[in-house]
Amino acid sequence: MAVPLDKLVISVYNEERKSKEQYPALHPRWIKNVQFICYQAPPLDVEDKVFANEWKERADFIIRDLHWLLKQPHDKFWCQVIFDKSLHRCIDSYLKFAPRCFDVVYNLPDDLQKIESEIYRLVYMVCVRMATHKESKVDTVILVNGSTSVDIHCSLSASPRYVSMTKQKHFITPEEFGKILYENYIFDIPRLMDLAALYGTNHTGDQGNKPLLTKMITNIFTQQPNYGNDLAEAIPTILQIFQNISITCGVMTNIAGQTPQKLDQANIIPLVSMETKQFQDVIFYLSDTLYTIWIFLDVYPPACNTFVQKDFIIKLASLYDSLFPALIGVMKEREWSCNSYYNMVMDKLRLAQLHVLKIFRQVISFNYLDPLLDAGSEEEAGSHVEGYVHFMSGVLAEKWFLCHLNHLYPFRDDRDLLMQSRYPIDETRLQFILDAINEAAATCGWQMKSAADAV
Amino acid sequence: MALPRLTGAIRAFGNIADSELLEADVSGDIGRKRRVCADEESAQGLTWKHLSTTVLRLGEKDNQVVTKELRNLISTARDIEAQTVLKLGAEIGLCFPYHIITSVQIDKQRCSDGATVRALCCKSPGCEFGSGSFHCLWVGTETEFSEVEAGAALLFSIFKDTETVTKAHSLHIQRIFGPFPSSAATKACKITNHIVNMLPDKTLELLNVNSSANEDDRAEFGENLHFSQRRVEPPREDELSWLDFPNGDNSEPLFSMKY
Repeated sequence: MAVPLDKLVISVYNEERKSKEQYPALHPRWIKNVQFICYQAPPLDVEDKVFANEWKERADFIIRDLHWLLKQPHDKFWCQVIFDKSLHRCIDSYLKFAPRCFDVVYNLPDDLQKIESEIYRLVYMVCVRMATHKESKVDTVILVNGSTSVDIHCSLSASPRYVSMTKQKHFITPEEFGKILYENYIFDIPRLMDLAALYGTNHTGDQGNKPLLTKMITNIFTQQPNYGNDLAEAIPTILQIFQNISITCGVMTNIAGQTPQKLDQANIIPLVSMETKQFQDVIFYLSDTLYTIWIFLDVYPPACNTFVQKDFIIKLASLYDSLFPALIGVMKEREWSCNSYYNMVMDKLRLAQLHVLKIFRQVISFNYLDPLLDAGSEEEAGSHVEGYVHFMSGVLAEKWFLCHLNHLYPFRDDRDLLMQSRYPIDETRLQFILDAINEAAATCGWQMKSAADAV
Repeated sequence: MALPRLTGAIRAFGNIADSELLEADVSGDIGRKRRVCADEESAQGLTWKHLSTTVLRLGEKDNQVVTKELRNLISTARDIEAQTVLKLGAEIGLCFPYHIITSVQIDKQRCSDGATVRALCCKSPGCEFGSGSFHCLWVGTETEFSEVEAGAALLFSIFKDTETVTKAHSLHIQRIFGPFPSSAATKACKITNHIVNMLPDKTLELLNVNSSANEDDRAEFGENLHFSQRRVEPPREDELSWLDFPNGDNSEPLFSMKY
């Protein structure tokens, strides 16, 4: 019978003390001093040979070490993952600093691009393995008669190597796996979001790495429910980020706190005269924040349950109407060094806008619309319908948001779906929402378009 | 400079990430990595003692010639290591470049991680960098000489089967020593070839040592997993123009070339 790695004990014969000593298979004693090094983003100026060579050297070390790590047997891999802080730093630095698909495109020469692509793959594979508590048919340590102990001979000073002898399934007890991940910070919420941002992007023609990534993240949340609590704890931080961006832009909002925040006008630089670099950073930050939330929800839809808390999506709609018209207006007022720079920043801003709409829709769909027709009872269907109406009613004051949302996801389709449910909804409530959308369109001078025109 | 990211803010303010990693210091990590690689190669590879005794015992020609070439190899290894020392000094915040001082002024320093710096430093009062500044220089001590020997043995291992310095050789040397002058590698290659030519056939087999070939032959996790490298280009601005706010200022942007 196979023994889980977390229960496996290894007996070591200490030749100096002439005695047998026992150590768990998961013990810092078994790690190798690798000194994984941190990743840095590729140099922006690839013509600078000094920086390019330094980056290549750093990348070369990372590639070699990650190949080595992935070749380790199950037990050695997990010892290194749990006890080697330098590995944590290496993976964390990659997830933090690796370029995203929406980042300014690096025109890397072929040799640097090849290296970057290799690290991109290796970090993914390491994370896949770290999110897997069961591996099959890989070489393993000697198991004697199914016992939980392994005998090896070594001296205390040397790190013993035990030889692979059998092939069998390797696993960690699911409960222990969840504990190991959480207590050793092998994954945390920012890392899971980084993983989604880096590897969750849909690919033309196929699903790319998303299906496996979804499995990984689902397994992590399933085995360790505390990650769900951590995600809920991240919500106020995210709201605070939006609040801070609004303050920087001189826009009054009430996103993060209970009371409206007064703006200290003396300390606010008008957007139109803000330094280009600072203005660009605001747009990039906003764009990254909204994209990351959306792709995380796309890769791991159950997180939508958390994003209905604290009226997150209603506040997002409020942000949409207060912040984006100001930013778009200023984009046109500011002076730009060239057309392509303007277009690049504008692309980012438009994408940020688009992702607000997508986040709202994703949360509403997952929680209320998708499960509506499968609801087993009128009561269950009623809770979904009421949830939908609550959130749509909460954003009726946000005129631009309503116009753009309706353009992308026409309300009439939702209304048809709601009318088909088991729950006998009062049609006048849906008409009230529709009237508000029409009124918003009239107020904004918005031409209603068909959904086919939308992206 | 790092781009502003949502996950960076959650790491810093969310209280749900590993706070130990917030201020990961990358300065000097390459230096530490090189030392680990050098130690590993030394532990697994050919030792200077084994090399020199074997070569002196089996060398076909005059031992004086062999001894001279072994010395030359040591000297070349020292040249390469000296470059590393300067690099190491710069990485841990010591001044660069070094200046020559007398042994009286020598003061040993330690890296932030507790490892002894292989450079020796001075606190010269007339130093152009001012009082209290440390200058690195290469001064051989017993410990450091053993490191040079290990480096020389490594150079011999690298070049014993080749007559030219390839890119792979350079990368191997750089991984252990850091940046180095290519002329030193060429010189080490020539000296090694000269030593090899003075040895009888099959002597090289005696100098072959176990490597980590077994580890390299192992299957790698993920080899059979589907992985997609393609990344999607985000939609262009004109595809999203419907997201405009038509009541706002629709005037064309002003462009200037003054930036």
